[in-house]
Amino acid sequence: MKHIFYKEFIKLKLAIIVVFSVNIAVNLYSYFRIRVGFIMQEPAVIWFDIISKNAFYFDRISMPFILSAFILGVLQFYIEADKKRFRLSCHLPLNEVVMTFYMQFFGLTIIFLLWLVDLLSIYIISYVFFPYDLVKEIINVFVYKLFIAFISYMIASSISLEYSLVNKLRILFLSVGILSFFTVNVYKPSLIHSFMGLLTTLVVLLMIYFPAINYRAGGK
Amino acid sequence: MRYISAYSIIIVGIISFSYFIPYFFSIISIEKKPSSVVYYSPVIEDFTIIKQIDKNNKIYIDRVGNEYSLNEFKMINPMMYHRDLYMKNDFPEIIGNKFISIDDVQKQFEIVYIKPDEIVKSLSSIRLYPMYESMGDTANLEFPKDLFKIEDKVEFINGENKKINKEKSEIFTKKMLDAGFLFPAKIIGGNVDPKKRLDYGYFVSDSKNDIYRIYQEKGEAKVKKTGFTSKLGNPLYIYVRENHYAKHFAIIVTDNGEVYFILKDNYEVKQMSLGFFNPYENTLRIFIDPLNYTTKLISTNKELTFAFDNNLNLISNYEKIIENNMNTILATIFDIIFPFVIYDDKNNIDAPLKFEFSTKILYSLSFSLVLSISYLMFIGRKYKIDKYGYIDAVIIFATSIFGLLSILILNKERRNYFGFRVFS
Repeated sequence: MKHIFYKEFIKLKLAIIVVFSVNIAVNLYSYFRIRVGFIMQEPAVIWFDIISKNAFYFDRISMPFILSAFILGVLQFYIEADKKRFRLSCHLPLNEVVMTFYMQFFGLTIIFLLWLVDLLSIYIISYVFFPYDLVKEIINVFVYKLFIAFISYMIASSISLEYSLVNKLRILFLSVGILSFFTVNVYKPSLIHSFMGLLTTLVVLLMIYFPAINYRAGGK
Repeated sequence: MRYISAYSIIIVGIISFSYFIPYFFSIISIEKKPSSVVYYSPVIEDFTIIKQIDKNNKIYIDRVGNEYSLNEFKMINPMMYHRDLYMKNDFPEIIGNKFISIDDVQKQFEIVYIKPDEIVKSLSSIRLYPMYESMGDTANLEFPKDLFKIEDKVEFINGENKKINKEKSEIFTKKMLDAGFLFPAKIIGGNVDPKKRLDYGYFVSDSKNDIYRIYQEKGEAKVKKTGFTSKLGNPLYIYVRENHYAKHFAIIVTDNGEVYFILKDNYEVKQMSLGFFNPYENTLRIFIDPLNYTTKLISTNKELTFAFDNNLNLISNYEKIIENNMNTILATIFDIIFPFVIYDDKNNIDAPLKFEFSTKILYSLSFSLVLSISYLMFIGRKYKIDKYGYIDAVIIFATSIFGLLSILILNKERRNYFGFRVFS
């Protein structure tokens, strides 16, 4: 696993640095935008505005995170599909399922670390500007966003790894509905939502083995 | 693993299709059905109806079928058309043997909407509220510098430093305890709109389900016990919209669908008897005028209109069937070919995605059975059916057209792995 992780890190180091930098930059920008709002207006008015609109200020901040997960999925596996490099990886002394799992696990680990950075940033911003009643909702919303990011990553990686354009379109057509579910705005995701997110993650987790095994099976 | 991964894509496809296909099907099959509007007339003391015959024609009738011209219809419904009648100087002074001035109607006419999404929103909203000054020195309300919450006590949180204003919080908490309020608070209802001209404060149910009014007058905390006690039920939603001329302060909806008005007269409580009302699914629309309360209880397939006098005594009711806006034949096809659907329920901000079985589930299962047998016959014509063929058939039986489409879309590629081709 260590070697696969190292290989994936070399392959993706630039993308990882860019993704982390962009997310941190967005969080910093958000901090200063919120700060301007609090300088210009009464804090209680801003709190009230957020509450009465049934929205969370960190909803927008989480978008770059989900997009990052999607991009990581594409970059990590498109490189493998390009010129069928994945076939070379299949010659490693490792079962292709185990190897794909480690590659996927690497991607999920990076997304989880990115999530931790974003979560920490949101907590810092929130503790500075918002009351506890708003801050306590962060974890519920962000666990849900983590599953959305996982699902986006795995769908992106499955489509990217598939070598045939027709099959890419097939997988895209079958899975695009799942992604659109998450465009439906859930105000305060409950434990049930996170559980549903986890179940969907587990189902989607297996999708990538379809194109991966296809390489081993000698797909043309 | 190869089979499991292929089936995981099929499951993803089934979930996606059960959301998308019914949605697009319902969009293309929508058509406008003839509709009608029901009003209670205090002049003829019965219900009157505007019936839409076709796109350009309406008829105006009463419950027994007498037809009216538009002007006659307005004259027998002076409350609903008071602006038109006043403009033409036709507003009658005597309505229902009582003298009612146009001024009274304009001041007291009010439409109340109680919708499921409002109820869900009020329950899931973050419970921080502004406490306005009910007897301010200016015409407009001033937004406070703190927000308050009521849980085990009252806490005012200052916006500047996020600290709790202990002194103010203790004064309100003590006032509430003195009035008999039993913490923790359960349901809080109030109009938080800062643009309102008048403030009633908040109506809060305590742990016993008694309701209290809490407000601020000249900077002082005020707490009044209302006539709503636990004997009347468990409050679910408290509707408050300030109107100086209205007879009531608030409308309470209980979790078993009973509706009560808290009147301004000594906080007395009166029930509006509606029979069965499901606050999570039905919309309530109440037209309040000086003579009557006309209440519409709207569900997906019918609208019940109740007429009450101004003491909330039931006069009469009228039932109207609401036709589905989907083409009738296509609606039946919809119910048969889709055994279940996932849809976006805009009434529920906390759980917007809903799963629902077909109303014609037996027909739907029969259709699925035909599909799965046809599938087996189709692949069986050319190939020996293996266990995956049977698994496919079971999936098609359980998920009908969603499963069939997912399997067919992925089939050619999947069959390569499984050892035989279907569409070679």
